[in-house]
Amino acid sequence: MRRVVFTIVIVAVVLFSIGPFMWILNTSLKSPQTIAERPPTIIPDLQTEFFAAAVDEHNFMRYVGNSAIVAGLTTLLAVLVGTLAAYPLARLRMPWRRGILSLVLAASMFPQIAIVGGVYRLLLKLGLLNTHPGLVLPYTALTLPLAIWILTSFFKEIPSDLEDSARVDGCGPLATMWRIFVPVAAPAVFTTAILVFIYAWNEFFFALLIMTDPAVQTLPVGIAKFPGEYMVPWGELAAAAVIATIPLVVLVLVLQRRIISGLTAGAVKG
Amino acid sequence: MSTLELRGLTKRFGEIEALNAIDLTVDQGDFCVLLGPSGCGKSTALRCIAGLETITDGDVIINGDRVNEKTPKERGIAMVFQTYALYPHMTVRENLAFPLKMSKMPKDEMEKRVRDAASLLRIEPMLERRPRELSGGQRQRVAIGRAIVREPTLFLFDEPLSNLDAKLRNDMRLEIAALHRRLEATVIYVTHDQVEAMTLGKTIVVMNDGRIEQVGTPDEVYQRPATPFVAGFVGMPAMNFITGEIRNDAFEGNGFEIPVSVDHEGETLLGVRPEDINLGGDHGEGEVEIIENLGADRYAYLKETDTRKRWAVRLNADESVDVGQAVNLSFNVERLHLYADNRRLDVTSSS
Repeated sequence: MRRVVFTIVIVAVVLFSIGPFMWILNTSLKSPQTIAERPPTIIPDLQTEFFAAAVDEHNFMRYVGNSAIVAGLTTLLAVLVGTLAAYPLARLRMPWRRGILSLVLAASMFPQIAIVGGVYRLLLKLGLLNTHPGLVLPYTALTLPLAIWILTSFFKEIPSDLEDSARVDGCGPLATMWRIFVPVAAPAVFTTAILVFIYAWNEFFFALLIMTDPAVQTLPVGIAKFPGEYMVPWGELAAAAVIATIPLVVLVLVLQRRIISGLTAGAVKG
Repeated sequence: MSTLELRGLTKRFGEIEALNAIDLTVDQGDFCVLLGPSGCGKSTALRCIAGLETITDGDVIINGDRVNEKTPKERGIAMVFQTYALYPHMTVRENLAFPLKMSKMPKDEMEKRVRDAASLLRIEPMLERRPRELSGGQRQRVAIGRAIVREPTLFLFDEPLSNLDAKLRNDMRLEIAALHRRLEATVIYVTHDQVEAMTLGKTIVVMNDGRIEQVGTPDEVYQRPATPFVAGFVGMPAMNFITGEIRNDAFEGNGFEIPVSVDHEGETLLGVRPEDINLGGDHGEGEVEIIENLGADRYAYLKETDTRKRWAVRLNADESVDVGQAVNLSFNVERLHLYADNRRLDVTSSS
């Protein structure tokens, strides 16, 4: 009985989450003829016309490229800086450690709308509007608090005995970092990377204001510009949404094994 | 020649003095146990010897070389940690080989040493597994193996058994003792467990509050504790203490008088172990509160009615008491411990 209820609840939750995406996927695979049918058909007629249209007519792949560059650079930068900040925060005995962490967290508390004016003027002065760094910089700044917090708490879980042991075994600071700490901390780094990447991939508001030149616009902005003056191209929108989602799904699927494989399983009593 | 010598070893963390001018000499082949309550500085001392902690003052000398500024690797030590500290992303074989790889040892020599250590510790079948697939005892063996392969001058153990359950701890204790005999290695072993200290140690160093209280064989530490702290810390249940005075060659306290012959007059602390107290007599009295039956031994815990002083007494096989019963006590007067000014008084003869 409990199993039945459990299964029903799980199915309901999964349907609730995945339903909208399935609908979009369904729409994207219809032909222009079936898309407007009422009542809508449940099984699509598996046409790829909309995908072709999205790619050809809307310059879609350029948006994908821009998004990949911006999200990729943001992830790289946030994880790199985050790791360098989190390691001492997790390891050193220093005063104000909590204070520093709270301050970092406080930086992420301001709503985007409250800081966008300042960010815009800064980027204007720096001449970074309509450039990839113009988005990478604010994205990195916005995701760093999250990255630092996640990494710090993960790093703290890694017993410092491991590093001591590496030193006794003959590792200098760099060898300790690269041969022991980084491989052990990899799940934490990947988890952080995924979260940052998803944020940068999906971000709309800053992207809309900072990137006015279509040549450098990212996916969310690109897709938002699909609707014309007189019509909404539902099919192309759906196809674009599906393409935009695929990289995230692939990324999570590829990395999830590494994330789930427990953090330090076996290093200490476990 | 001494393998390890500490001269005035001092370590301060800011204002806190973790080690206060420690002097210690450990001979080749010794099994030296640093014993003390948590926070006494024993782990800090070990980390200073290992080179994991810088020292504030004094010298660490290994095999005649002053190693204060040397890295852990250059000191020729190997260390086994309380949490084992196995590298989770490496197999058992890679874990064992890691210190050798770091010292750039030729491959065949490396493989030979890993094989030897694995067979000595009976972990050969697990060489290709990862630490998370091993049980606690196996992990402990791998950790010891990683120390053995380096053939160090000095083995350092930091509470290696405290993460194991009681049964396994007993087994591993015996294994470590056997291993020490076989390797004829010099070991510094940190623990807060007096059973480990008594059974494993050739030399026990009892530490308290950043200082050494006593250095001696297990027998010396138990039979002739040098300070009241050692007397109270070593032994389970703990020694009973009575404060009193020595006057005219007799200890007076708690309403009785015992003739003693020591070179001291005035305030004195008298200690008596639970096994040196017998039922009947006039050195104390009390009401039995709890009886603890440990199988081989039984202990009675008494409380005096007027002074509320507590006693721990080991019952002889033929003695039996009930909870709530009032009993009188007498001491085995040949086996009393007397302390004044925090040091032991030597009994010249007793009557």
